[in-house]
Amino acid sequence: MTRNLYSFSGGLKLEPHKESTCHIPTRSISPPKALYLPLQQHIGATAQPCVAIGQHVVAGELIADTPDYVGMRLHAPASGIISSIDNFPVIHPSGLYGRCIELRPENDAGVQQSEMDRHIRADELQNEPLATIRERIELAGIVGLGGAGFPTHVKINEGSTQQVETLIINGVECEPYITCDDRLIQEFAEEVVAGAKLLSRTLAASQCIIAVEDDMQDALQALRENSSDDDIEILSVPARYPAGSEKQLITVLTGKEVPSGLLPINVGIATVNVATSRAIFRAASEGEPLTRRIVTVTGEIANPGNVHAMIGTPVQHLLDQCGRFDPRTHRVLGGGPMMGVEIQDTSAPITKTTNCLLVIARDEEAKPPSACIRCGDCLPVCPVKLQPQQLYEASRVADVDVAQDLHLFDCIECGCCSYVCPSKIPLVDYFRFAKSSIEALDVDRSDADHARALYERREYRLSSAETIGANEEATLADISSLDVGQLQGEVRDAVARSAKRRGKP
Amino acid sequence: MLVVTIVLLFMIAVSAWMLLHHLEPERDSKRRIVHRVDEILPQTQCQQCGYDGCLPYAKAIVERGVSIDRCPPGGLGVRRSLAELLGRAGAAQRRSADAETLEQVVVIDEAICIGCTKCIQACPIDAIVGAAKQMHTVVTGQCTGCELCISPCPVDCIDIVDAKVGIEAWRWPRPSYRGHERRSVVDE
Repeated sequence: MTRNLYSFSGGLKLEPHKESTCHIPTRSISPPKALYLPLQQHIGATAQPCVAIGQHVVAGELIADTPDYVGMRLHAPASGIISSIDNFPVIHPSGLYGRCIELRPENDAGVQQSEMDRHIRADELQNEPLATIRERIELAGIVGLGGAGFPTHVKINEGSTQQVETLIINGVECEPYITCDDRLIQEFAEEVVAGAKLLSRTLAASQCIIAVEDDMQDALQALRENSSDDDIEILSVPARYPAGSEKQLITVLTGKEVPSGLLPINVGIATVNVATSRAIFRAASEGEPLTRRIVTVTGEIANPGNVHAMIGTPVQHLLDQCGRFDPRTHRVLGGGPMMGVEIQDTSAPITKTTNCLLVIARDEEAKPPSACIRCGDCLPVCPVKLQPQQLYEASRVADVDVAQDLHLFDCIECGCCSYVCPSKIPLVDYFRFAKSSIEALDVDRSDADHARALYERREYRLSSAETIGANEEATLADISSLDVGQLQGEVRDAVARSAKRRGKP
Repeated sequence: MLVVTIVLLFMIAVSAWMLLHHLEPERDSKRRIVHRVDEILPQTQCQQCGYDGCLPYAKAIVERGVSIDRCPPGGLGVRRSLAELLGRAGAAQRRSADAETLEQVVVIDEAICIGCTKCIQACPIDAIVGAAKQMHTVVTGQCTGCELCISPCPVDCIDIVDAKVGIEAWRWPRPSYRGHERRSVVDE
């Protein structure tokens, strides 16, 4: 069966830089001295620790839970002792510290523990009720491993309530340097396919596509070898950045465009990353929680490659395993060269969404950005058909109304506009700033509403206190007009009655 | 014919009346305008405008025509919104008095506090808790940084500090690069 492929507008043909890592088998590394598990490592609510400091945990044990629907559970990647729950460096553009659970692995490893103790053989999964599979995915704390880290059980629940026509398993690793999904498919194609089948059944999808880029031939081959039947289409799409971005991939495969402000599910499509697909299979069959992932360590480092890393492993530990580099001349990005965030403190740990550590040279000689010359080069490369130059003008002065009219929130921050800008203007930084400012305005507004409510309640209380005070005066005036002698007599009589009742003299 | 003419005239009169009613903001009841002005004001309740809070200032603007440029925490943004709402000439310039970003809050040095309750009475939004001769404290996340509690304190135990920006409240900063911004009129 052949499928017509479509193309999305804009995008760039980029130098792949994948050769140095895509042929090397994924390495296992020694465990670090300590793991730091950030409680906030994805979109959604922060997890709450459910372990005490000093407590011994075994690998796979739940260490942080979440009461929220859009939340994620965290499990211990290794057996050991919880040594602290405190603020530590994390991978974040602010460079601020985030709350983490510190876990010191110990060698006398207990048996991997899981709430899902029952193993289900792959061929038995077919007959397992869907509710069980959904529950196991949620218990395993799986989030989207492609980048944004959206909790997978939420995606599946939404998908179950709405009609899913096409399920897309996304192996289109379009950003240069990154090969973790490529290696994952080559080494675990069977599990990726099994996960896809399981997910397809869970969502009752009419068709399922596993897509890779056309320069990932080994991965394509591995997938074809491992899928026996025709239920799943396996195909490659032309390598063009950002073909792996969710909405762009949907356009390429189906010709559909997800409307502004809507989700893929609104047009009957669900997309899941290949690594997530494998994690789903592992959770459903083995009851294995998500505690490790494959990370590409690449760039200007002696011994690049992909490594199996426990969530919470410090970045520095991973870099040490892959050779040395000089931090004075080089810097580290979390993610690829287009969308990655600079890691200022390499003692920060990797999270469930860290796919790549890229070591690149610091460009001290780089000229500062010059003024926008209105060349319009950014216009044809935007994959969302925005007008980066106009958006830049609005974002620069934080003109939130104009920026929103220009659909600022449809920007996927792919970085194509910044890449082609001859003036080297960091356009995406301006768009992030503008998005942030608009979100801050909303927060300020709700804070103001809260303060207003408090002020109004206080005013009301003070005014009613005045009213009550006036009434009390009136009552006092009434009492003072009474005969004091008569009142005293009444009180004496009452005391006497009471004493008599209690049998006292 | 006559009937048609009368009906037509009547319809024209009705539509003209509706149009007038629609265009004339004066017909919007004063209370509603006060409410809308109050929605624009930042609710710091700091009294820097000279009134007892944001709502009294809103009333003064609408009912007595008081100037719209008396709100330092609101700054340019608030002045602009008020000018647009009320059709008044707005002071479009940024001013040195503008505070705008409210990143400061107060904290009570609990070791020094003698429990006099004076700050509790001064706080316009009940953000300080405590009782007589008991330690007082500021409720985190509620303080608007109005500073009204500072001067009543007899033992000077209230400090104004930068609000802690947690990782979740962090915002992308405005990019600052030398060169291409130098000549531009950034803040108008």
